[in-house]
Amino acid sequence: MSLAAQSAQLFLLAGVVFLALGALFAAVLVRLFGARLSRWDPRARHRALTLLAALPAASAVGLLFAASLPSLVALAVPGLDHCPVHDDGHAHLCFVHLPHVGIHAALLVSLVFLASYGLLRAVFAASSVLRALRVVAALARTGERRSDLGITIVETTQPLCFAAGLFRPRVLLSRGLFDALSAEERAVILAHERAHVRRRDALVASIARALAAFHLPWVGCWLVHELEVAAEQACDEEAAHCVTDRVAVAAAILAVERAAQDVVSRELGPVAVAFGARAVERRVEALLGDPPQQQSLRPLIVSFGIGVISLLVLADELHHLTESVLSVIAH
Amino acid sequence: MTHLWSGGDGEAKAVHSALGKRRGITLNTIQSTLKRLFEKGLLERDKVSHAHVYRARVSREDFHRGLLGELVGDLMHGQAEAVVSAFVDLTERAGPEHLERLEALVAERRRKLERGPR
Repeated sequence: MSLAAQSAQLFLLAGVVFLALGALFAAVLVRLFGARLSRWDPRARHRALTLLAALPAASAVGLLFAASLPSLVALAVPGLDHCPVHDDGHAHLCFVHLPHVGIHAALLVSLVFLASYGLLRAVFAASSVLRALRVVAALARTGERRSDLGITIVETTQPLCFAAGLFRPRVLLSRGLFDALSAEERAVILAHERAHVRRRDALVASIARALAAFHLPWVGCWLVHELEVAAEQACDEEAAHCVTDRVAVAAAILAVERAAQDVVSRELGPVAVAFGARAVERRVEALLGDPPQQQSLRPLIVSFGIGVISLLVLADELHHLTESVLSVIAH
Repeated sequence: MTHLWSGGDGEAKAVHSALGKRRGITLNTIQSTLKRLFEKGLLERDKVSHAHVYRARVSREDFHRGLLGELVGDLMHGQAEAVVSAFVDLTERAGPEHLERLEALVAERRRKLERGPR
């Protein structure tokens, strides 16, 4: 095996270890602050949850960059190269001195399996998203466009209303719901869906779902669900601001939920009841309570900045620690 | 499909005059599209003289119901759910007892607001 391939194995192994560390760190944060986070203003909560979803992937990239920094510096300034002090059997995380040994075959097979499994899941997920996008585009093309309201009406009696699409989201409303709603309820629902379009929630949710795959399973599920609820509540707040009546938004949610009861539950069965109860309950109770206080994300941004600076300052130590750990687990 | 649903003439040349010229689509493309839709079972056709005359086999409502069924089916399976932000979740339902309790809360709040602060 070439030296470059052996070096790539070490970098891959380091990346996986950093990813696992990031996932564990995120799990600890969720355990410690999850309950407190659910009381935040939904807009700030949505941003914080999105950052949390990106934590394992971002920390893997950040740690790998920081651990490679001394080697990158040596590439630019040969005088700062420290590698000659190590022997050839050392797990060099280095672009200059490629390691003379690869990682253990069993570990390599596990890494390849893990990477293939991840790739396969990503391909399935992407194809499912593409199919959903094609269906949405077909609905939008063949529905009745109401440019005065900025929506497309879909010919069905089912009570459906949704914003759909990643880069050019559209609002689709079923004829059944359009006819059944009062003018006030229609205004609420359209304001809510337009907020989804403006905030690009579908795109953010798709990215967050992909990033959630790097978390521990229970953390990933919690994150995806909390992100959805936060996005809905953020749009509820925008709709409430738009119609200047929070109770009207709560009433509209219940009106649509009531209309959807018979149609959707008949098709999807009782399995979904428990989750829905929680989301609708949380949304309505939040709207009936006091308006949320604006939450500053400054502490989060400052913590992130301190983390980045610490990584850069401790890059040398991290590089040596990573090489030592890799030497132990690789062989 | 929209052209045929709104009662437009179903001969390829007529569809081309109505849509193709405006959108810069050739008659060949229109013909092969109509043929593909026929093969998918969305259109039916009769041969009149030398030409096929197409008409919609499924109504717009049936077509949309099928698409929505596919979408809701997909939504039940992970990643595609993120593409759609429904006003109330398509795959989750609150139980009737929850709904009644919440409706009572909303009614109560409305009454309080109507009475105004004392």
